[in-house]
Amino acid sequence: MPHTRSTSALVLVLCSSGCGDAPAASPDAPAAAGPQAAGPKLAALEPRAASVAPDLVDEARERGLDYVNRSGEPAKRTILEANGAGAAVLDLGKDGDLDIVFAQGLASVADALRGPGADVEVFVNDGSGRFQRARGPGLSGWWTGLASGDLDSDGDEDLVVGGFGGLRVLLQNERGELVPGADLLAASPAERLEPGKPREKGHPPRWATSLALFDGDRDGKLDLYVGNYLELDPVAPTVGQVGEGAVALPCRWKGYDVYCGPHGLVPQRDRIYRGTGDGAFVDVGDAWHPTQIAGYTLGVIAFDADQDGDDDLYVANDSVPNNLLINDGSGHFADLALTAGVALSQDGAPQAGMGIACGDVDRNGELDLAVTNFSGEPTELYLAAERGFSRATYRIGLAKATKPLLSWGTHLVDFDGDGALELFTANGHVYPEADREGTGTSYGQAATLWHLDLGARLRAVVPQSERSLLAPTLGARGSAIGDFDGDLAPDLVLARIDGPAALGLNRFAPDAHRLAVRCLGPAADEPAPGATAARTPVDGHGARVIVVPKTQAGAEHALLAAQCTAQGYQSASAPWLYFGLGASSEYESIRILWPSGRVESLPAGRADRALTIREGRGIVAEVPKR
Amino acid sequence: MKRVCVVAFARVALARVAFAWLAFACLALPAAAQLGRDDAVAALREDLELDRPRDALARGKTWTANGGTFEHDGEVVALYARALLATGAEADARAVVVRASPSEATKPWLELETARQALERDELDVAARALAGANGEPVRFPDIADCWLVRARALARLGKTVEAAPLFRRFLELAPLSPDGPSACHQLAQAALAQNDQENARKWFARAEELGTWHGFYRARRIQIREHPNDPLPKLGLAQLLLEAREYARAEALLVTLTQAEPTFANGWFHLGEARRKQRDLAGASAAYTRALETDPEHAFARFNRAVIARMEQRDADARADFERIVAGPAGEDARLLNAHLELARLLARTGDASGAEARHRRYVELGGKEPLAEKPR
Repeated sequence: MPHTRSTSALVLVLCSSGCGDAPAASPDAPAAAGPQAAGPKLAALEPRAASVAPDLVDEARERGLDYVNRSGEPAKRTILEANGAGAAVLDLGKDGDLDIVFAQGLASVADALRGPGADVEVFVNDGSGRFQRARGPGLSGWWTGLASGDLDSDGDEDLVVGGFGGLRVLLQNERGELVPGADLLAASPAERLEPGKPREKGHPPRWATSLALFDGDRDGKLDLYVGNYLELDPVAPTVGQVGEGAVALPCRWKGYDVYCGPHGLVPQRDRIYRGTGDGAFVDVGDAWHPTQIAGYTLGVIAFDADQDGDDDLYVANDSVPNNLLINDGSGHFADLALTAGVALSQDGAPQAGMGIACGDVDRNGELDLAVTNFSGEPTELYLAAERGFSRATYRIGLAKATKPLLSWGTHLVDFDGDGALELFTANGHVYPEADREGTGTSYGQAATLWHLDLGARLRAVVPQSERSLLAPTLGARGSAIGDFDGDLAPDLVLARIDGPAALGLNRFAPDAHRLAVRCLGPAADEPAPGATAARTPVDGHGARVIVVPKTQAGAEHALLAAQCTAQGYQSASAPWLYFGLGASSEYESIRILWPSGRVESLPAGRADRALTIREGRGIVAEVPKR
Repeated sequence: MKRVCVVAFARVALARVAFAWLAFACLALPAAAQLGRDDAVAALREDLELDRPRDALARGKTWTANGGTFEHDGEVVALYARALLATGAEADARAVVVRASPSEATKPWLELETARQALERDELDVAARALAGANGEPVRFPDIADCWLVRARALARLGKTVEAAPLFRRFLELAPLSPDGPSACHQLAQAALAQNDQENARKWFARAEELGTWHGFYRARRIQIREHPNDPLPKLGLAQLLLEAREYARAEALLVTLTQAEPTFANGWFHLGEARRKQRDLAGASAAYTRALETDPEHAFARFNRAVIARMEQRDADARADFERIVAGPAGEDARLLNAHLELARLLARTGDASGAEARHRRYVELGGKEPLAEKPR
């Protein structure tokens, strides 16, 4: 069914459940499509008592995760050296556990020219949350961002990896290895950077940062959004000042000389590729988003912002307005960020957008957004509202808490299993000069986690020991979520800059009841089960799941999560959805809103299970908590 | 000789009202002993606006110390506190405000700063209440533009966008060229959206963008002046921005200083002529254009403007000489000086040279001119 939703109006009207022209439910599905229709009336969140000894315990070293990031030289003379790398959490080998792939950079910009280049680094889980380094795909470059999804419709997860002068598809083979596929810069060799090959001045490579897989045209094949940053010539990088002569501007921050950019350097246009379902992509950016203005993109997320059943995109740009790209259902986008209230700061200024997370913070059945920013700017919390989004940042004290921080990866996840989302941010300044006098901030910054009790001020989670992932004041960039040890509690992997990765094992509330849900679309050779032309991707991308815990009367509530892996910063989280049921050992119902338009309801069941649900077939696998 | 085109500036139409924050002319700061209060305030504001909080700290610390020149000036103390906050010294910033002993007249600045600090701590209700006026008045200190701004921001952050709108509007009336102007316009756009007034939302968004662009250039010029204090180009750029903002007197003052230091800088003299012409000082303008032409006889814009003034003052021979020189040279082909042909044609017609006038008017039309030869009644 074609989408006819108009995007021409200045005001973005976000409908609540069931309004607009959302795709029709399949014949066997209940009529109402919106999350709020899924279950009992939503209960307002109540302030909670402080959790007992909650923490994310860093067990990277003892579990064999010995990745150490390289991101240029400590002095950070160029902006390339400041942005770090991301991580992807995915199942390699279809053995049911979650493995990790890290992007990797080089020790200096000079190394990017003389080579050898870096490969991505692969760590395979033995099923108990212990990792072993595995052979990489053999790439050579300076890699930054990763996106994961089933690109060739064969039922396993693949990767796209982007970086400074590189953009490659990595397909998973039957042995669980990542094998280089399409080179998305093959047609534009000037934009490629091949370490070790001679390069002339004046040809800045294309620099991909965050990537997002989504299904723009609802054909069941994953498309790709590539956030691109700016033009930096590795042969003669801009240093010291931008411009020339008396009208030059020094690259300076709070009176200290720092690297140049993004202002003064040329932004690169983002790219949109349509997936063909066999691991190949076709550049459709001009057709799908013809009015795009090049920004300095650092973050991108795909989610259904207007609840019309298709993937929209939110793009975080550095120092220029952010974009909310609303999909007309066919993959054609219009930017409505300004009128939706998510383009600029509260005071109307562009911010340095970095990472993005989405989740239903206020449990009203709509997805909210968190966006991280530069020091001096708050991490923003935008709540989906009747029209666009409403900013909760200041009302809950998030501005005060986050202004000293420069934040990157971010997640809205229920770590402690009580049914309310926490906000995680990975932090660390870009300028080593931040440690000098009078900056009001610092270069190394601890990662932070907050309980979000709307209606009250947020509460920071205090690290319980030196082993806490939240304790070290080191710089971090990418972060991704997944349950690595099978206890159904979401863990977190953190890609620090110029240092070892952290693996935060979830040690919050072990008695809380939980549910993990994995959604899958029909196999590529199966007919779509729904009545509409739209099709759910094989890997279930875009599915929205509403779980209603079985609770006492008066405490009814529903939990919404969406399957979109491109959360955090330059990273891809596991495709599993993690729900906290608190004291409820059972759920009342599960409802899945499939991207095909089909709505599927499942009856009550027991918590503390990992459920795999395939569209039209219900629960196809059920694994109890370990 | 310097022929300069600094940067293409955004064409922005800015309000006429002068604003005290533009007072600091980016020139060398006099010693504290000779420093006027307004200069001190402007210097601190500029340090903060240009992200130089440590410079503000250094100045403010001396000025507000026991026995310091501005120890009892609430506004200076407030700005010093803001510098402390910008460098991360939040407790010190609060202490400075609490311990200050301001003169009665400057006390409101410290109360305002206390509210601003509450706003920075996300204590929105505290900030909004602290600046609420008595007897239903919107704000406590209606003569201070920032009082309207801070209270409006507190309300807006509380989600009371529509309630905040009139306060933002009043702030813009009082301080149209404040660096917070774009922010106020943005908030007014948000308030319009909240009321489903899309036309006004568009208008205010556009205004916010225009004003933001202007401030971006304004900030850049001031940084360039700090970096290159002896180079005339950034100062000229700043003067051009002031002209665009209709801050003619301030532009003139800056250009007088500039041309005194750089007497052979033709573009400086030309823009000084512009600043004077906009203030209807035609004699002063003509003199400045003449100085530009003494340095650069090919400065066609100075020549054209001087000729127009001569024509207005009925010095036809002077006007004709300048117009003829323009149309005879390469500037005669410049579309921006098309009217030199028309002015000369009309001048010739007035002096009875009908064929010369028609020939010149034909050339004017060939170059794209649309006006008839006959002058409209004045």
